[in-house]
Amino acid sequence: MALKRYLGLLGLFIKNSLIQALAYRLDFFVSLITDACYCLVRVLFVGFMFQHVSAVGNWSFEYFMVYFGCAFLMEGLYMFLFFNGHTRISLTILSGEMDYFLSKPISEIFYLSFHSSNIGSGISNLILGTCYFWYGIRNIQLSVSPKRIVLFIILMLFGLVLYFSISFIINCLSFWVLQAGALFNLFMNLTDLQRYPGEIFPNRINFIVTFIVPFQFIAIIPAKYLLDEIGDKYIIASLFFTITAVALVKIIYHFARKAYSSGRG
Amino acid sequence: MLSRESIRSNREGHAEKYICCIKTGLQELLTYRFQYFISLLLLLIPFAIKNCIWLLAFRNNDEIAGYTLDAILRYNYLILIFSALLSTNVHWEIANEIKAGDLSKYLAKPISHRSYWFNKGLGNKAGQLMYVLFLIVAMYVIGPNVFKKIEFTYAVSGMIAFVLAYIMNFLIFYNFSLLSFRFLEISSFFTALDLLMSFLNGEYLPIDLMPDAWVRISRLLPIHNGIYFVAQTFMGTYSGQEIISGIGMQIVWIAELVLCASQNWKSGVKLYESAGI
Repeated sequence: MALKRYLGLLGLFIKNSLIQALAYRLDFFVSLITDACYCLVRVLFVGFMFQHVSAVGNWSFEYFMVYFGCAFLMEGLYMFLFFNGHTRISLTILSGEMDYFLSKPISEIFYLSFHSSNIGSGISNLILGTCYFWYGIRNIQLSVSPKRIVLFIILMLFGLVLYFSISFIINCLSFWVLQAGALFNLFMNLTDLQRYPGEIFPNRINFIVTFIVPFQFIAIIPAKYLLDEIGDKYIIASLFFTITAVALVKIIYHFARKAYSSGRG
Repeated sequence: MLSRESIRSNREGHAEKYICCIKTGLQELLTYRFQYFISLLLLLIPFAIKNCIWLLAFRNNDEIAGYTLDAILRYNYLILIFSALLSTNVHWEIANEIKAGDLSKYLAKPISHRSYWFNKGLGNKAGQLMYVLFLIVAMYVIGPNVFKKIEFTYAVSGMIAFVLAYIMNFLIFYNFSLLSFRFLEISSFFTALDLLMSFLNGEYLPIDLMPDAWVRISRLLPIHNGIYFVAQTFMGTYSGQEIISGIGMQIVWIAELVLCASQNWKSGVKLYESAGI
């Protein structure tokens, strides 16, 4: 019942955001192109490199396309669902608008995260991500069992929850630090680390981005699982990180809420 | 008729107000120290990722399209330094001013809009030099012989190319910023512009590693004589004659961009409207 209500609300939020975005149509279409350029540039760098080499490490270009595909699909969902909500937390606190969010009879974390959708970026990332993924998978000519496909989708869902959690925790710092924007920019740049397989980095960095701040579990681990590069134990690890991250979101928000004092009389 | 004395004092006043612009730029940078520090830190992340990918690519190859691993790392280091020094926000700031109607202050005061922004940018760069010096020292300690392989003559011609590239880069973005007179909402375009410019001018990988068609097109554009030309000059890739003709091309581009900027400013100001109390 509650799930149905929240899904209905999510649908309404997305519909509202779409109406807002289409009010400035030219800007909306330009932002679609801008984000498409952003996705393209990342791939062109590796693509041009592959004009001169046949493999980078153990990977061919097609493998990189599967990784990029998964990463941009995840980025698209992130942009579409909760990017706007999370980046506006700081503004919501500063403007005193937070009181409005607290007064509604729904989960505050849900409302803060999903009330606004970045439709343009979401769509371009999702379209290009799907294209990259499809191109990679088609050219690798991999036979994948239905079980592996189902587990891949589950790993991607875990990845999305992880992405949500890391982003929410970083933005929650706004409850303590007035200008957390710079930290969020740092986080956005660090998300570059979820687009490349961890093995390209030195061992220590690979360990950190896989097991300390698990960026690799967002998109690369699901992609590697689909490509049969890793075993089932990573599903357990992914589940563990997802549960831990959700618990951390709850705990940190609990303390953040206590630190908040209304700016209104 | 003006006396020699009054001409001199006029000139001094002229210089003084632009020195003030430089100071403003530096003060602005120091006011937002934390944001500035983080933004510089952000430059290091793509740099590190780029180098990691190259290291992996060279694991199976001794040479890629004429570049050794040492050469490509040196190129990346030089690009990191020069991109920090050449990057500019001028188009964003001018667009915001035009949108907010703040441009009137330049129209009412004896100050050139272009010179104001150029000098303010210089102030900003003075602060960034500190960061670059830190990078140079760090590289000297841990880098793969980046500076040991740079010859004195190439360093001198590289510095000349860098100064001209800085002016050229400023003028390119200044010209784009004046589009704000014609379009109310231009931020998405600027985001795309920043990204494409950084890719096409060789910040991600050397232009000569890109497809032939693009290399040919880029030779007809100012970006070929920008950061890529500066880095390659420092690396000693070009012959003396190529450096001279490259610097010549930079001067030609600067002259063309100045003419364009004057024309765009004149036609843009005619479209500008500001309403206030």
